[in-house]
Amino acid sequence: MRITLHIQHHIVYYDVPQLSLARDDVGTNYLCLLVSEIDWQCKYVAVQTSAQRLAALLIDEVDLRSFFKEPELHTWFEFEDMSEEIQARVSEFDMIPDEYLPDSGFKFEGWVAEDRSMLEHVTRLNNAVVQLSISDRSKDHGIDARALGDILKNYQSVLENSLRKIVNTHNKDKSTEVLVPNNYTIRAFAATPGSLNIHMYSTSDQNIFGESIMELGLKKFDEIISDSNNNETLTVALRTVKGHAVSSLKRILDTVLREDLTLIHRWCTPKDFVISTKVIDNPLASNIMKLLQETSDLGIEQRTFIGHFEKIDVINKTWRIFDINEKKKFRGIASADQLSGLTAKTKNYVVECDEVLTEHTVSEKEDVTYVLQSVKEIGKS
Amino acid sequence: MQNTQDDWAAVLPEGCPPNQAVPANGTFYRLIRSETPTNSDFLSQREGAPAKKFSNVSECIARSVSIWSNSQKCLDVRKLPGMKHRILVQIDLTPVDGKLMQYGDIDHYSWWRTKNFKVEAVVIFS
Repeated sequence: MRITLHIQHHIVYYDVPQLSLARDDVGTNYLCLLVSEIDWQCKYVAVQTSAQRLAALLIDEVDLRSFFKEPELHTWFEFEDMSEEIQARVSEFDMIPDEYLPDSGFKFEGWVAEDRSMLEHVTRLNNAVVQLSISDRSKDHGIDARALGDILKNYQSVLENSLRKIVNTHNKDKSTEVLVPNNYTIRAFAATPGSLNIHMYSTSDQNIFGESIMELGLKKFDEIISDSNNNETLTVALRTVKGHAVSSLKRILDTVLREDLTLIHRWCTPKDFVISTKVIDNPLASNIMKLLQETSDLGIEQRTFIGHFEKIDVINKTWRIFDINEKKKFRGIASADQLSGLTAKTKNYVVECDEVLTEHTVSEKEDVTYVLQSVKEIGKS
Repeated sequence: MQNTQDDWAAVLPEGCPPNQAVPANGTFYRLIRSETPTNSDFLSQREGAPAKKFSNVSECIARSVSIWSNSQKCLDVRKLPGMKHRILVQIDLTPVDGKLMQYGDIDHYSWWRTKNFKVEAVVIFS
């Protein structure tokens, strides 16, 4: 029997990977250990592991020797080539040879110092944990407080609006149930030096789609800050969260460029205990910003209402509509030309608008303004 | 000091060492095979195995040598089956010996050697 493994990351590296985390095609975790190396010819043994046992290993609750000596499934796999697609075969031995085992007492403390603290938090909080490391050129473990505020506020906004887009696109019927504050907000609970590391956690539900709601937003954030050489791929990713999420991302990138910051985005969930890491530095921010400037519609949030106008004010250029899907009233602005000829109360329309957020300078509360773009009477060709 | 391609002990790809790499300076540790340090104990993965590639290891890292700023980490690594029986050595580096970049573990450094590095200066650590 053979399995295909894909390396996720190397935990211990010494000239060659010594201990690495891999996954098979269905997402099961494997730990791969270099068991012999002669003239650079390497041999690895891999064992399947649950996320819980892997976390226990990395926080030194399980010893590496017993992890390999007594794997959960009593099956070992072997391979020689650590290529992109590793072909591992089931080992013929009934028990792993002693010379393939590490000595007792290998401690991960120190090896996975940052990872360890994150894994501990994930285990303790049983939810997604995020670490945002922010540094500028001063190298004093600090940054301008206004920049910090901007980054955190807009980061939260990207997550929230990405989730709204994802849920409304793929599971609109569940949006009322899913799009509740505990699913899209993150809470900061610690800050540590290094860069300035802000530690946050999610309170989101974990039983929808088989993963936590917040994980969808975190994955999307990584996707839209990918260091892709292919701008077309990045544009496609950005288009999936077109509107407020992209506007907020733009504000983050603006701050990164203005303050010459480097952001490191790391997160982990109890689903697999694998830590994802993405970096936004000046060159990446410039590249994405350039792309956003060339595709300015990406920052525009569009909204469609279906229903009848309750009020049409051509003189003040305002309108109010009752949306039959949401059973709510919405107000907006338009040009006099756009409003003239429309009928209030007795006819239904499809109204396409741009949704514009305006922030009050003092209170920082946001107002939504709907700017009418097009209107079509239902049933009229 | 700006290094040229001729300064390096091995051919490095463009953009390697990366911008984050800093001039080597200080005391570092490494596990070697030989009882008396030789140049073969300081070969990078690419020098040792020109055709071998490892997933998730960049070409630049493949052309570096692993060293640690902490001797205890080397002793930890010696517990791993692929590294048992290796000998711990101490290396005192100065900027002429090459460039370093922290990679992976906080005490692990990737070292791009210059031709200036002299293996005779390496001492067995007791």
